[in-house]
Amino acid sequence: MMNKEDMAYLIQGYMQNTLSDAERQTFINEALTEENRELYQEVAASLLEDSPDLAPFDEKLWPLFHQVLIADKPSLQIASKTNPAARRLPSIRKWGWAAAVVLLAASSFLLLKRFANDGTQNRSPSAIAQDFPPGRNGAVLTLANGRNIVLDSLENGMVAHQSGADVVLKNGELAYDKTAATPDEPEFNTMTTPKGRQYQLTLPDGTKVWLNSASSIRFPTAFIGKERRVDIHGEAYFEVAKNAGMPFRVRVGDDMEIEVLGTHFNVNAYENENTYRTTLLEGRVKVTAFPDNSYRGAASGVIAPGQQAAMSRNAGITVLNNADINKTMAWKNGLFNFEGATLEEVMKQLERWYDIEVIYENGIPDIAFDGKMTKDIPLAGLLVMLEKSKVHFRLEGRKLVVLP
Amino acid sequence: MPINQNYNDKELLLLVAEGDEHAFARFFRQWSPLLQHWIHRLVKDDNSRLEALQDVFIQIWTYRDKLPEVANLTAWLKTVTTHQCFRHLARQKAWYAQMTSQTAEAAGYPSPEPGAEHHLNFKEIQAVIQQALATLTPQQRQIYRLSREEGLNSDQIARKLNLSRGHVRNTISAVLAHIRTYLLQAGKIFWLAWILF
Repeated sequence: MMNKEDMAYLIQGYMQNTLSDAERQTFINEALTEENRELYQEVAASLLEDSPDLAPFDEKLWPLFHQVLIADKPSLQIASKTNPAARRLPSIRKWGWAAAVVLLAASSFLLLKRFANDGTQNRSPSAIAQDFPPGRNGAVLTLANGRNIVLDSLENGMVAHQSGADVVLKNGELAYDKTAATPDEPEFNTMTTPKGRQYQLTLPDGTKVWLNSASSIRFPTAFIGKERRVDIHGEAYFEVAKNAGMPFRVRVGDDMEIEVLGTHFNVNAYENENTYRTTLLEGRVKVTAFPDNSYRGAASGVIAPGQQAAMSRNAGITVLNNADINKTMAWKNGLFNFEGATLEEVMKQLERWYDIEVIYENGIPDIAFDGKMTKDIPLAGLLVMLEKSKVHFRLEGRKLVVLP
Repeated sequence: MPINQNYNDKELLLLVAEGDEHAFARFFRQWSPLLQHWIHRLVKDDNSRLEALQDVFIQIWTYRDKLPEVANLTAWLKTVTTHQCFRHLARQKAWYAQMTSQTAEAAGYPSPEPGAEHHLNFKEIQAVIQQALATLTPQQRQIYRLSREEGLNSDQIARKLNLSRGHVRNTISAVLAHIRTYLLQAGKIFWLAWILF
């Protein structure tokens, strides 16, 4: 049992770096435990003066203070349609994506922190939250020679030099700087985001691509010839650099191709979804379903801004007017948008963002959702709100089992 | 913003208790040099010091309705500060455990990824508070929103909603107690016995 003198010795020795290794272990393993917390606090308080000479207020602390004020703003809400009183729009969305990026660097600390908590804390909601942090920025770049580069934690600078271009990382985005004449034979790179990662890159022609989680894009290190062609899986948003002489084509596996001249559009084409959706924000694109996949209905369609081409195996390509652009682009803006979404649609997003697997114990409950929320909250925060929407579930490791 | 000397401590605390952010900013300016001095006596690395300071002020803010009742504010703040210092030292246990005295001395016990860890700590606390807020009743939510998003005091909220001022104050106190319960269960704060001060 530790007494006050021991505690005072350890606290002061710790601060002055005068403890032996054994004493440091005692400080860590005995003084800093819950049963000695009150003793620690009592002794520590006795070491603090009531009115010491003080430095003036540090003006650099104001950002810290402003975070204190936002911590308890009631801004994050989702709700089921049966509970309209709870509908709320997030006013902290401006922090959403930025905070997710900040978390990028934080995650490598998670393991250490979880270890630190072992045995000292109960499994509280926040403990679950630590196990399932939200997704973040990151991807794997596979070069033509098969080399894999993990981009999650690289600093700014040159990543690789390939035929005709330097691959550089600037502020967490990948870009190609042309250094030499266009090569005869371009090399192909593939950028892949696992579950729980998003990434932005700039292609060699200046086209910007935002890659959602569980997605990939294959592209050349230089566009040569008559067209600019890339292959994608999953979901990506494109801002295509204008070049009327060189059409830009996006191919989704062997299923679908999108031909564009210079435009902004989003492709949602996850293989585990029933429908591939191409949504146009600017310009004009032509969407073609490849015939050898037994699609019925129209095989191609041209869409204008605000329209969406939905391709499904049953109906071929259907053009929808008045596509919900906010909902389509929510992922790129750091938001979940659950307006009008079914439980299954919501769960598929959660699977990709939190790297979990969702299982339905007895069919998929028929629940429609409404509302938006920032994507930077841990899973536990989201689950509390789902529970409020009358969704019942239990967590088994990385499996979220939805109960009837 | 300079300290407005017209507010003595008690009046300032009453304004903070009403959720007045400007008053809390004055409180922050007034008290943070002393709290920083204390934290510097107990925690070594700069980032943990800033985290502890922020968490002390989050805890004060979630206890704002109780502040005017505190008889000895200095003693109470000392208790909050020593608790948050303890919490942040304990958070870093695994890190200390890896270090021998030589490396520890050389490194001065820095956090491995200080900036990021700071944001993580804040995000965890924010998530716990948001979980608490997600479970409010509709009327609690309406009143709390008017306080936190529109910056209204309890008189203004009472007039706007045609309720009694006492009811509004009780509702906000209940919401704050609810937030504190969540933070307590998550191990972010501990129970403060008011009567002792």
